Amino acid sequence: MRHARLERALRRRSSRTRLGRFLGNRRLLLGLVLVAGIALVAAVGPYLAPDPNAIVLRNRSIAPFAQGFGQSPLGTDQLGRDMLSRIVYGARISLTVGVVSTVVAALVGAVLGMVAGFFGGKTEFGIMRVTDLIMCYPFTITSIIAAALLAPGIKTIILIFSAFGWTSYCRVIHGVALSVKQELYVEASRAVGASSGWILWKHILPGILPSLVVSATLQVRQMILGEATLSFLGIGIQPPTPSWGVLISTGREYLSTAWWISTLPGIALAVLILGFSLLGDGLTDYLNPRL
Amino acid sequence: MLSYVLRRLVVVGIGLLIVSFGIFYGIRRSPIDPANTMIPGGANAEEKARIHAALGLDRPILVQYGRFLHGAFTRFDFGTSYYSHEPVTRLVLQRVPVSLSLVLPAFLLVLCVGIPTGFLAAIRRNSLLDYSVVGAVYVIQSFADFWIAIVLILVFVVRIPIFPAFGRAGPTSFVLPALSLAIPLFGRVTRFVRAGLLDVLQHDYIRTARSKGASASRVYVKHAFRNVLVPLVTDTSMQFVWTIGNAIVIEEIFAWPGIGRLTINAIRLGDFPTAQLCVLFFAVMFMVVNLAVDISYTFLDPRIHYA
Repeated sequence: MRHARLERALRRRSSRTRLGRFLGNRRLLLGLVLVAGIALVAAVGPYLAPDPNAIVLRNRSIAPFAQGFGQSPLGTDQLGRDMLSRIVYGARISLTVGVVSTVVAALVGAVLGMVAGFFGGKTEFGIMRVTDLIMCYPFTITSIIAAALLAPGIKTIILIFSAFGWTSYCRVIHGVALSVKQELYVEASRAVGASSGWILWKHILPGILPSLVVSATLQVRQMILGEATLSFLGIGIQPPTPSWGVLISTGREYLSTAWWISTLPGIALAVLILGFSLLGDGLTDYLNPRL
Repeated sequence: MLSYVLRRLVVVGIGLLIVSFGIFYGIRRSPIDPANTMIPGGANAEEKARIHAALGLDRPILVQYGRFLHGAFTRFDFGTSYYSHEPVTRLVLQRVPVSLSLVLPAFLLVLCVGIPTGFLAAIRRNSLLDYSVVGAVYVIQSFADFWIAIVLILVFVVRIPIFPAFGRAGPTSFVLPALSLAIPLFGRVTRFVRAGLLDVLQHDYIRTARSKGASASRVYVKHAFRNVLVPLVTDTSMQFVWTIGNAIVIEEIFAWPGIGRLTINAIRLGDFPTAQLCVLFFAVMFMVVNLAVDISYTFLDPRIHYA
């Protein structure tokens, strides 16, 4: 009796219940707060913020907090556009590109990985060789070259990222599928006469889901950073659309006069990436069974 | 072993052919047209036709590719730049050392700072030092390398004018670019060394060495670190090669005439021969280093050998 009270008094999170582990995992919670926070801002912000493309030359290059918290709390850029609303719109772009590319890449990679791992033989050989061939080339330089060849825009970016991004999921899921295939319940299902499709759906898929979710959360960072890099170089999102990469790039000329144009979007970018890192690592701890 | 290498080389060769045709075809099918970039304000149909004929772009793509291959295999001639009229091979060979001179110092910095940091963090596990190192690395890795470059310029060029903002002349001009490359990378090395060392320290032979009375330095350096070295070397070599490509953004910011910048400008301008050779160069580099790393495994870890 006294022990239970003591525990409650000390507010120790029970590491035995799912909720307890969830709430006790600081990284997971912090990551979730950051990501959800930014997602909320990105979703709701555009309805509350002034037009990010409204050029008001009278207000150009106002420093952050120069006018207090009322007007343009984060300052304006060289054309008088409000920095805060530009950053909020940029969050939308980064999140959209990041999440959509990751989802598509993860789906493609997971399906291919499952099929390769489960069926083996020539299918596995073919799929894994293609994966190896594409994985040879680093994501960044390949996406830069591809983006330079195609017409710039958000659709192109998502296409390129999905086309080159699925390979790491394929590798990981292939490995997991191989080990899940060995499990006794799969063999039992086979013995009872289950079809391959049924086994894949009911047994293999739940087995790969934790690894898939963790991989995806950590990969989103690459996509978000990739979009910022491409936009920065001028081959991704084009100005005046306020992607964070575009903002950082336009601000370069004004470093001596208006340093906040480049600096602030970069901080927002770092916070978003940090959020996903924490989320991904927290999920790894949470989803992997504690021995 | 020799047959393995030969087999891999054949695969590399096929891969290079695929890549070379891929970029050859891709760039000719892309919206980029050298005629539009050569004539300011865009070219009309007649000018386009003339330029295409002069550059040999009106032939069927396979014919063009055949001529390209012929030149490449017989005379090692990969074409002439549409813009500078220099042989493309010379252009690329000029730029590669520039990129290397950026990536090499950056990597030396990363290794000199990252390895000891990871080492210390692993030895003093769960101490304040360990937590602060891990935390700092975590946060630093969230920043974009081009953003770090811009902030460095802001602080050390605009506010306190110590270093030059761009260009590649004199020792001071190497500092900021190398730092911008190094800072995002060093986190990876630190985490790698720390994780590897933590893993190795669990093993029995460490316990044996300690119980035999070996000094701490002997245990850590001779026994533990040696075993981290193998994966570290392979990971670092791959990272090094990748960074030569990723340095493109830093080259762009600091206006260094490196291979990354050459590639992207060539593609933008529609300078087909240059773009092709650049992409091919990267392909060769990545594939060859992959192969070299795989082969080096057999030397570094005597337990591994290929049929």
